[in-house]
Amino acid sequence: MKKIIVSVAVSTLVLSLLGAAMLYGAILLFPQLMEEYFSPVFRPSGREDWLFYAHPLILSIALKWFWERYKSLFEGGVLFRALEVALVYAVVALLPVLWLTFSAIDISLGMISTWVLYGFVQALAAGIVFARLNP
Amino acid sequence: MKLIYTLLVAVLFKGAPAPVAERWVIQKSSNLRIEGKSNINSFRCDITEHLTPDTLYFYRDDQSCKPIPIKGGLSIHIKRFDCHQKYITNDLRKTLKADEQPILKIELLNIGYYNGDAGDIKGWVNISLAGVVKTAEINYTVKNGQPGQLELLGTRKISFSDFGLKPPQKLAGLIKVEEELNVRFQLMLRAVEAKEIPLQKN
Repeated sequence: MKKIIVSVAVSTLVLSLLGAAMLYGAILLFPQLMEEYFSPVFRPSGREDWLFYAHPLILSIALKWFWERYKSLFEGGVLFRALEVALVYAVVALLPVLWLTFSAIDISLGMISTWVLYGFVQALAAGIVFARLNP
Repeated sequence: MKLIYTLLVAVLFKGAPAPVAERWVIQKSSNLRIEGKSNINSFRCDITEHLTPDTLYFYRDDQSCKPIPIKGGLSIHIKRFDCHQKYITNDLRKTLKADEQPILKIELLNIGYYNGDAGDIKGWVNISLAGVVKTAEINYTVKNGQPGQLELLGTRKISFSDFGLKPPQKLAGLIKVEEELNVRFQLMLRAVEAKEIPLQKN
């Protein structure tokens, strides 16, 4: 149990830092695309802000569960196993949900693409943490 | 000697000329701009249509050289602001409560005494925005071009919080507009009548 808590905690910390770094990186690299966050489809900052900041924890718990259940299927080195986890997460979870999101909400393809990349990189990082701490 | 005495008495006892009101009409070429910054980039919002052609009254007193009281001002439809970025434009209009309080009013109260072109002149205005009125000091530059024409350039930094507003923030505050805005207005004025009108108390 302690191992699980430590893994989730480390993953949460890594995903939080990575998320912030990717967001500010995107602001530097794609400012015009980032302006889309001022669109009314995005919730203004307020009482629900904690939901956004809880996201790395939720993702870490979900991926940890997935890792513990299916890690025997992923073979090879740390990076390769993490890459497989990220790929599965992107194809099984991200792609269908973001497809639906794009079809229902007025956001650009560029914005959705950054979310796919963002999710993929986060799952890769979580995969590396889990493959190292709970191989 | 008698003539000199008479002239001296006339000069000493003549009452100071009463302040007179100059009447100026705001021209269509006038404009107002709001400049701001977000942590993504900076933006500039302009009025795309001309300002309402209101009249301003300047109560100038050349004897005392005191600040010149002004009556009149600008009324601006917030929905006419164009920030040249679709999302910022819509979000700023919403933040400024364009639906509930659609008019931004700048009522000119006074301006420091000037004669001809002048820079760094102080003046005071009442700014009405989102249902809040705030008295603020303005930095003016005055350009007296051709006779009967006057250009007033006014600048002032304001904060969203001055008017009880919260700057737009998204993604739990990670993407946000800065608190401070820079308001610039350029008033192109034309004298309505060549002769001056006697002072009328407000």
